[in-house]
Amino acid sequence: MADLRNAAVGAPGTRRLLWTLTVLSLLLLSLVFLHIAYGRTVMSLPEVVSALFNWTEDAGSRHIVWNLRLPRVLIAMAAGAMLGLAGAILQIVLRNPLVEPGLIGVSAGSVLTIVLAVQLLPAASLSGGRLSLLAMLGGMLTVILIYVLNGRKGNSGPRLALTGIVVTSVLQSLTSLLLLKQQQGLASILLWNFGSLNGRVWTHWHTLWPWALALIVLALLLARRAAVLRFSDATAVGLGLPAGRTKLWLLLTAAALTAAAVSVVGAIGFIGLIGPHIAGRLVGGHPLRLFPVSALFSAVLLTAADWMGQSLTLTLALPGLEHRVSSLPVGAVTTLLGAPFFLYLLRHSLVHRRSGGS
Amino acid sequence: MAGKTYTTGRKVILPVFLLLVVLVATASVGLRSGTPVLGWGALADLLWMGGGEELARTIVLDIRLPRIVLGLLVGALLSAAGTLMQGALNNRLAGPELLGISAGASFAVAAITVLHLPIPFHLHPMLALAGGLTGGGIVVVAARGSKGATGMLLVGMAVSAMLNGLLVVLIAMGTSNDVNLLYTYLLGSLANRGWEQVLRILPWFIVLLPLALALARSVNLLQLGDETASGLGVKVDRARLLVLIVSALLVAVTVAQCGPIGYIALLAPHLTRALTRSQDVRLVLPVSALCGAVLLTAADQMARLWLEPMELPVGVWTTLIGGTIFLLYIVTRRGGGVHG
Repeated sequence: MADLRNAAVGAPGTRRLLWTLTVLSLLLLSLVFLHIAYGRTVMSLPEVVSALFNWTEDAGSRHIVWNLRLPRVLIAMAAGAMLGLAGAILQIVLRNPLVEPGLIGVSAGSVLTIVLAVQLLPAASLSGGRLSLLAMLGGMLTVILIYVLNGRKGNSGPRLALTGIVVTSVLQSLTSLLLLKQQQGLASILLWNFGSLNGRVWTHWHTLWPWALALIVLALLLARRAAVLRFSDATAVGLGLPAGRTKLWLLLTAAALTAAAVSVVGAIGFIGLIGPHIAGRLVGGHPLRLFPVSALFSAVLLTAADWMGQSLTLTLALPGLEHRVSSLPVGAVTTLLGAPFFLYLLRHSLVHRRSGGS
Repeated sequence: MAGKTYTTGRKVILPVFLLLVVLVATASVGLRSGTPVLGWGALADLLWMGGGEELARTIVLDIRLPRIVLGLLVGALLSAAGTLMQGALNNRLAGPELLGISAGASFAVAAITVLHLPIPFHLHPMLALAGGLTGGGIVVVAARGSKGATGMLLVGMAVSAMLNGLLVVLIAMGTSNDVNLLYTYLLGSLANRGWEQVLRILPWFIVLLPLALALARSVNLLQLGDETASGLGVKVDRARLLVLIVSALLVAVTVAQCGPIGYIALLAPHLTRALTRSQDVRLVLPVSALCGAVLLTAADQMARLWLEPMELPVGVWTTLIGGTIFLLYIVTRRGGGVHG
């Protein structure tokens, strides 16, 4: 254990980690200001600051900043961090660079349970917290399903990813079915199947933050144990470390992180794929460094994606699109960014596998 | 040779008979059920004797009947495309919905509709084709060098995800709150179609299905693997390209009218090969066209009648059921098979 720890917090690594965290935090902070300042009503930086600290007398700008934009930004940050962390955990536990919560069906499973619960259970019994719990149940069941389906045939990268994607599409079609049956509007279908931050307000934040706090801390605490999984199972057993139980804990944590985020913002895809990969490039693959950087980087990503979606809605002038009422669902933006990234990883893994295999 | 023809004939007769029985059953249930429900006698009277009330006649002949006919045509075109693609790529997991073709075609048609581009209806299939070929082309280029079936599928799914992302951008920004667009261009639906759509698709059907059949021989050779095929004098790349373009066209024609209806093209050929116990494309292609026609019509009637008076787009049902079957298929396939 001691040498693992040294390897993790060795001097050069630590310095780099601190630098990365600092830079990312600054980036996140500036994105937050940008996001708050730029919307249908554009505000200047001093205006944002004075509204944030209640220095201004202008009730309008205080309302915009406090009631509309601040909760949305906070939710974007928290959800991004949670999805990124979940992605990092899944990639390490399943030893597969191609997985992320949205691609292996965890998000879709959580969404399905939520939609099902909303339809079947009386509304009174579904406070935000309980809905998240149900979502977690769905997410965990899906993780277990994928694990079982994939079986002992070995977690070969592409195969697991394929199983996950097909499970996702089946679960999504069930969700669409339920939503369409309830005659829900376009907005709710887009929210649940693609993920959206439109219209997220303080109540959503109040549901999200306790889970975010508890689960992110839990995941970071598990990081040292997760380090074991970088070795083969046999090595872990040789070192006297319980790899199986660690895996289970980590998988459940990942499912819970995903479900808690998804129950508020819908199935936002690909954040959990991009974040951990770039984090890995920045600070290396050791969980003690990978987990926090993944979380922070993914928070940056989701905030940036939402901001991009909003500004795109405001600036892009296409013929026939005069009647736009809401901004782009952020899930569409992350998909547009993430799918090419997935393609790139996939090519890498396929070519690598081929040269390694033959 | 005579003996061969005999066994081939026997292989086909039973499945075709079965499919026709299912077809007639589905069609007649579809024609009489709904609002209003007709008695069998009234239906027969209406269909053959020209009887019945004006309203009932309109409902059966102008609403229910064209929908069934459209389902048959679309199902047949899709399955023909699936059969050709699975043969030409020598990949039993291939299908237009997994290789970016459906998504590309759908995006093209959605762009025309949402952006109100001034393009006449009869040109929609051509633009859908352009979109489908672009989608499929990206997949083929991006999957170059990866040998397994799984690799190509994943590339296809990534490209489809990207195109669907663009589609959502388009729909989310373009409309106030129009779920119907989502129905049509993301899920695929046969609802609210009439003879007009049938007539738009029919010429393509008449031209393309014989064309597909004409390609069956070269697909048969491609199935043997590239080396054997080129040993037998086939220009492999050119033949494959031709087959893929024709399949993309088959798909594009359907997407232009009904949106991307998933998993019919993927599963009908499998079902047909199992029923006929044959790998010969000349035989599988026509039977699977029939099979796809029956599958889609049956699924559509289910979509229409199960939750009556509400109905859900048929694409949701085919994805739900077809996706589950496909999942079981890839999971139960023997270990290494998926990669090869």
